[in-house]
Amino acid sequence: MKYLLAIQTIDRRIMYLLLVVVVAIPMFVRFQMPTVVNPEVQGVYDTVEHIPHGQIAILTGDWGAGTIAESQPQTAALMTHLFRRNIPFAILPFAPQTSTLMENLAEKIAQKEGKKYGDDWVNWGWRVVPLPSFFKGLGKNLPATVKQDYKGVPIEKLKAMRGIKTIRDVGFIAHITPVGGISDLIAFAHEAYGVPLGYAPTAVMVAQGYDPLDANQIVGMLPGMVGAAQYEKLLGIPGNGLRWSNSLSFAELLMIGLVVLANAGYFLSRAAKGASS
Amino acid sequence: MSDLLHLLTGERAIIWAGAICTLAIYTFLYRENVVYRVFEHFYLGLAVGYGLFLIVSEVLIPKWWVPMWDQGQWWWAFALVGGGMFYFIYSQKHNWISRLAFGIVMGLAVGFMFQDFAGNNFPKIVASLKPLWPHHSYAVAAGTAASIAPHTPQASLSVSGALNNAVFVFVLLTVLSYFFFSYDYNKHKAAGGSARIGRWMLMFAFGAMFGSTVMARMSLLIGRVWFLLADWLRVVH
Repeated sequence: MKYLLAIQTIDRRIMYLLLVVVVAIPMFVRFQMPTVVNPEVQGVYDTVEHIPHGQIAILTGDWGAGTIAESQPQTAALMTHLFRRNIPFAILPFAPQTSTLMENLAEKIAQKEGKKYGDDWVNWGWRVVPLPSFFKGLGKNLPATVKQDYKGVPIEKLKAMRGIKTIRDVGFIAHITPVGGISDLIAFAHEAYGVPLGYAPTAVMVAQGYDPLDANQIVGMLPGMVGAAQYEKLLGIPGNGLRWSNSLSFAELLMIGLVVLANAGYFLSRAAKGASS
Repeated sequence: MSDLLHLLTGERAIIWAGAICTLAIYTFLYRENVVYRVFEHFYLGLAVGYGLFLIVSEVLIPKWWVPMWDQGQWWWAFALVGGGMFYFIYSQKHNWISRLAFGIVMGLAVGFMFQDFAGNNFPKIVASLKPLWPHHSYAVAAGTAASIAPHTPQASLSVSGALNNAVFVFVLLTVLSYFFFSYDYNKHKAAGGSARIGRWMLMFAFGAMFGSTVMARMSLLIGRVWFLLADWLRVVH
């Protein structure tokens, strides 16, 4: 009876310690758990794969240091794919911190892929404008609406933006976010101009993506770290998404194990009480 | 002096500061303590200071002051009048002035909201009307339906696809019936049963959403553990 009670009342601090240990183990040991690509991740990949040359992609986001473990691998996977396809992209950050984080990431990946700022990607910089009016502006005259990049360079002077006149020259928009916000882009980019949208939320916001996915308002979704891992698998570049998803699987196995253990203790102790009475 | 400055502002110093802050916040997992409290207030102060700095450096100076003062766009001075109107909310006598400013902003927001609502939800309603019978692909004959162009190819629907659609429609109807409050469910057994199933379906959905939330929280922990092991301690690469 004593041990049955003990497994129902494990000190939470022991569980936290166990959690940190199981999360850390896959970081020391190099291996890869099986990863199956979901249709929603495949949908984003296929859309990026078919962006016509002559068009650009836009990577929007409002993530910060707090969700770096999910949002950064998602952004990195999308940037790598666009670089490899030679599709120029524009970073459109909706938060000041995002501008720096996405720019640093693009610089890092560009070094590996042999790409150059201005030719292969641009950063439009953090915008303090309502998103609907900004996208209406992109629909009429994109260079006049964006005006300059985050360094103050007029965007007409940037090679990546040559020939881009309106949002109709944008072949894909991906929104990488910890807080949702895809509904604005659906209304003012997809429904208004027909631009294909991809959604890369943190796992906590995933539920918000299935409605528009079902209604074909978005082409696909990268659900949290797992979505990034699946995208890395499609690209054939094992990155942080795949590596960290091992830790995620271990953490979830531990939680399932603890739930089963505590419940087994509860039912067994109840059965023992019943037998003794 | 410059060496000391470099040491204090260099990348390693920033990583050390990040590691100390992370560990200080995690001390809460052991129990409530003064280190956690100090760093909690430190974070709050940092966030407020960062927010204020951004407003001044990224908005007021480049978007308002520089165009008005340096580039001769004098009309930006009216933004001060418009912005100042909001502060009349603190005046009992003149708070009607703030209502004018709020009215304009709310009008703009409501206009955008209408388009946002229609653009988001109407296509979802259309997408909820799903075919339930498996069929091969076909082209719509001319004159069949005014809203569909003649000879528009219609995709085939497999048996499993039809089954998926049937599950979708079943869940949709039962959940909708749960939110229909004009029936006395004790008298109308069918409506009561449907609402009960709808409640179960909602519980499944909430369970799945909670699972996603747990996954997100674990991801945050993984990010921090990686930072401590890879960036701070440099024991993993």
